Amino acid sequence: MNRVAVTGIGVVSPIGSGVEAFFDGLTRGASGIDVIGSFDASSFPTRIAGEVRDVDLASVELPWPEAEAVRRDRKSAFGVVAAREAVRTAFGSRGPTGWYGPHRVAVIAAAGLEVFDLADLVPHLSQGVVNGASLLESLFSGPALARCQIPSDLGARCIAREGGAAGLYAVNVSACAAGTQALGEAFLAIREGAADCAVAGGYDSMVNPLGVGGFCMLEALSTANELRGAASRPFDRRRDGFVLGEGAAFCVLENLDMARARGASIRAEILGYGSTLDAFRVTDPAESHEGAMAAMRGALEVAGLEARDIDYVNAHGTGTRKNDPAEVAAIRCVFGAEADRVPVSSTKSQIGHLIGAAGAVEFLAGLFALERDLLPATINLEEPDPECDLVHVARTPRPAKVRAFMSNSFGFGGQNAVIVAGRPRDEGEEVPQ
Amino acid sequence: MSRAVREVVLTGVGLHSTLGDVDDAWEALAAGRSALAMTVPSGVRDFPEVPGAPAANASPAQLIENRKLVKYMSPTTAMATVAAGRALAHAGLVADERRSGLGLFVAVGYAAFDLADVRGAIETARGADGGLDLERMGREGLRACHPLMPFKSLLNMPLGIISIAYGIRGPNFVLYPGAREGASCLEAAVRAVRHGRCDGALVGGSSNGFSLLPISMLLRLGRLARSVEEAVPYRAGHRGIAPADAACFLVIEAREHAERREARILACLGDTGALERAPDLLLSVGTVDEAADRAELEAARTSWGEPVPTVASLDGRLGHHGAAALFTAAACVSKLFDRNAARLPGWSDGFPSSVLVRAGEPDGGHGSLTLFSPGGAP
Repeated sequence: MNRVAVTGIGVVSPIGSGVEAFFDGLTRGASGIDVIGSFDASSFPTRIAGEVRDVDLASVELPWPEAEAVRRDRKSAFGVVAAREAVRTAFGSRGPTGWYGPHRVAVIAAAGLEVFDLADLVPHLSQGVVNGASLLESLFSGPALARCQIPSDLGARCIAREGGAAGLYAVNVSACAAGTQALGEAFLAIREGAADCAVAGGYDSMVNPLGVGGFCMLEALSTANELRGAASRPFDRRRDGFVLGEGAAFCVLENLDMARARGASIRAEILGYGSTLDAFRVTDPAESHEGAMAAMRGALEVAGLEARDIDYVNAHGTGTRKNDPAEVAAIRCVFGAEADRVPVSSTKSQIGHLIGAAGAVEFLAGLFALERDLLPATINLEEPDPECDLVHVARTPRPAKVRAFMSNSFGFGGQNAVIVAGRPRDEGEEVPQ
Repeated sequence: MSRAVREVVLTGVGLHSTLGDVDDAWEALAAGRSALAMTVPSGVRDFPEVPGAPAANASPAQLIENRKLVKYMSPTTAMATVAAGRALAHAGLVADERRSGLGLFVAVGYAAFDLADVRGAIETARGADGGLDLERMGREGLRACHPLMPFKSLLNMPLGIISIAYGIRGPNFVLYPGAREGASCLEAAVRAVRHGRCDGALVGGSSNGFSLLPISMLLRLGRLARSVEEAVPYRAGHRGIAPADAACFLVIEAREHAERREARILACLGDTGALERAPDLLLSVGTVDEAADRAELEAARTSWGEPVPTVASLDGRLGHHGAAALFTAAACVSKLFDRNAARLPGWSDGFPSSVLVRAGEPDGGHGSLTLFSPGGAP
């Protein structure tokens, strides 16, 4: 089995876009949650979200026929921006195919739901029936793919094209677990020899009327609008649901031996990955926590680590009433007595829930801990729920030496994905500071 | 569970399509019938007739114990649940304890967003100018949506619901949106079994392709055939595809696992890359026009030289199954390998021992899988 290195990273997030800005936001314990500005949500039960405010989509260079569609689909544009940073930091101007054959370069991306723009659809719908003639007239009067239903794979296609990648190609849509799954599957592909290099990560934005409205219907979102930046409160007694966020993160993963041979800086080594299904209910986490536990145990087993080797857990930590205690119980079962030692935090307290991109962005929060010896915080955790009894990194970041970390993602529908990464195990290995 | 690299075999197939399940569809094809017709997607007026293969509604309630799940299902999920159940039954995996450790890898097509689910919201939120009034949308429109709309819209629901319906708890992945991603899905599943992450996997795709918005998208991109005849690959005048509704699932297993439980082996699975030796048949899916057909032939010529193996496609009779296409082709290959199954008219009367199934995409991307007859060695 091949070892897998992380050699490049890129991110777009509500607390800062670009790795330095994102890491700065984590260091400051910043909140990216505020009143929704991208559409008029004033009459919606939830009016806050973690929006990306420092990326001007109009100025992002998109030299492709589908540029307008990418620009209208914020998540795809975020994905392109984040992947570019990851590729640039890993390879400079040569790109992945400057070092690897195109068929050995994979693109494995997580993406959110397609954009259905209700404003595009409303004029064509009357009494439940679509006027086909006016719909087609509208579609043909605008750029292809930019109206009504924008495919979610646009970003991944552009990333593959720009990187010259012709190897494994996958767009994963497993919702809240997707980002971690994309990284995990890329890890497996390199580990098992199906690729030498992968651009892997996730992009998502559901901060639109149908996205926010849909989650409002499920009563999954926080309605603590007045709290703004303090509304996302994983593990806190006063939590009342999650806050949506948007953004993207990508990593360049390489066969570690090959990365070393080309003189690449190794930021981290991915050590293990586990993926399971609850097979329980559509809406609730399994009462037995078996699926989440099996994913964590599976990742540790692949990594050849035990609970005592993990120095930080980046929790899924959504801030909903049911999910947080379920995750805590699963962590306690897997970590046993070590649960009273290992610090845990949820980055969703700062950026909200990025759904398809969540796992990828939160993996970078784990890398932050690894590289900076500073644990990102659950910023709004003022009064931990007794049902969420863990060693929390509450309110502000905390210094700690991290050898390896675990990042959890648990999806709606029962998908569990867990990834473990750490400092490269070889003696004398330098990790960039 | 062994950690050595293992041989992977096909032991079950399940299909929900316009022509029925695998056996029905194969019998229909052998009888010369086609699934394609000129028709109009539902829920629309003043729309041109287009070639395609809409499928009858899937009825998963007959296959699953937890019938409450049905209310959460979109047509894509319902078709997937039916096809998955048929594949598990075909493989003889009826007991829960035999299914829990399976991997589950699913490819889904473009979301066939059901406008009926948001009809109430749209009517309620329509502003004075006929456009969307977001203030009314938030105040009244959300309450007028179908309450289960979010579940029916989420692209990962086929995976989640199949896992719940059939008790599958193993490694998993859900990919989107086309035939090439179906190939990636199968590649991930084969690798999971081959490397011992699971002893078997349920892997397949579901695409509600014959619905309004995906069809409109194809029309806009100029990739929709204008007639049934134009949708036939490798025929002069091939221009565009005819979308279909379909779901197809396969059960794949490590050979030792299949043999231990005395399962019938339908085919052996090879690598997803190119073969060193030409296959007996290249079964292609998803070519969009004559140029793409020529590219497939050229790729075969480049890989194996002359003579180019027999190249065929079922898209011209089944329609394009999108995310399910590669799996449907693999299921059909299991019938080609079956000496008791009917032969397709116009195809070679012989029994191929190796078939490369290849899914091409308009942007040049492709994915493939090689199947060998049960006695054949990969």
